[in-house]
Amino acid sequence: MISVRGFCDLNVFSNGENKTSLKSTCQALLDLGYRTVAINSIFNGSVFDTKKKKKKGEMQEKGDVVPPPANQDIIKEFKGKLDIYERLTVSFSTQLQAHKLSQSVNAKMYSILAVIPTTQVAFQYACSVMDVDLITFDPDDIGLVKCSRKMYNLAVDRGLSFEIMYMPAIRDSTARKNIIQLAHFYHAFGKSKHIVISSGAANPFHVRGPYDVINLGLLFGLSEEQSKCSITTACRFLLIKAAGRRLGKTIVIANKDVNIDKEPGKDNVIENDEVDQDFEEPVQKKLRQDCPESSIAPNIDT
Amino acid sequence: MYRFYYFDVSLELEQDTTEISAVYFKNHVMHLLNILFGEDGASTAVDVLKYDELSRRAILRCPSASYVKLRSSLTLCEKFNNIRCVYRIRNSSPCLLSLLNTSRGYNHY
Repeated sequence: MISVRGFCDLNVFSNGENKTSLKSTCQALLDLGYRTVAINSIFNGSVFDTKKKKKKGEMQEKGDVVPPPANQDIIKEFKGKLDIYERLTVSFSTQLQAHKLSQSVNAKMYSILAVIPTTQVAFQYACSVMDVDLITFDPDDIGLVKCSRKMYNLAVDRGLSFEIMYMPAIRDSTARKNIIQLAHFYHAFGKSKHIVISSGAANPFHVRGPYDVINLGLLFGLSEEQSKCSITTACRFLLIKAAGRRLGKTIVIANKDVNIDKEPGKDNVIENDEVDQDFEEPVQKKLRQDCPESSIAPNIDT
Repeated sequence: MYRFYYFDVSLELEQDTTEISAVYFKNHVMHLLNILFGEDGASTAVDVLKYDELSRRAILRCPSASYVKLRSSLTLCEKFNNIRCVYRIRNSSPCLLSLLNTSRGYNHY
């Protein structure tokens, strides 16, 4: 059962090589008060576009293009202090790339799957059909993706979340402008529902304390309650939904534990058998009504 | 309701070289407000009530209406004279006495 504690930062940038800066960033987040973190690996979906076969006899290379999650050692190091999840962000522009992503085995090993739609078609596909958890954007280039109220509400009804990163706003004034513009779009089109604020930090100097991030949410068009939710409740919602996506359809069976009433007569002080029967018979009757299987009914010696 | 908001901030630098006096500290804060909110933001009456040069820790005061502006300008600060820096806002409150301590830092078991 997933339990999400405390404040969450669901985007710690990792380029796969520099582990020391990743560790120091996680340590900085722990010191500031965050308790749930997701390490992000960004992947460009254009790799999925395969070249046409030149010769008839040539076989395409069969191998998963998506790299598997590689940060298990950091997760173990911070176990008990910080809950670290693995996240994959894929930028894609066509439905074909999205389809290949859904077929990739390694992509399913990540806890969170996020997408960056780079075209209008991709955005519509992500909001309506695609099986992902989070829709995000590239801070340096928001492109021509036009949000619409219908698309936003469709995504929200399906349980998707939208992400706003604050680290690019620290670093660069163009990115700051883009982020604030996008945040205001989300507010205008969707009343800022299901927004998650995360850092996108690559080193410890890029992370900010949780209450500072909550204050930034006010700049991004969120209300005070929505701001606090964006790093707590919305992140919890996202992680639970992501777990549901990975596990697929499940069946819940409510079962009575046979071992509990193995010897019911032992503790009874009253020796009157009739009283005992009164206690036990109604229970048995209830069982017969609800659970017709004989294996569930406990053996009660009367 | 409350006239002022008080901040307990400390400035952390990547390289611990330069000595920053109170004047330069305040200048930097005004500069940050200018970057994000322009001249109107820079005209807010921010006061440095106390400043410790060794730890670069200060008590700031601003009018209640400018609380969000000042806090977000401090959050979005990247550099101090080309040295990477971070403003760590330890505490903020409309009451000066309550800056002493807060239960947010406790481990609630």
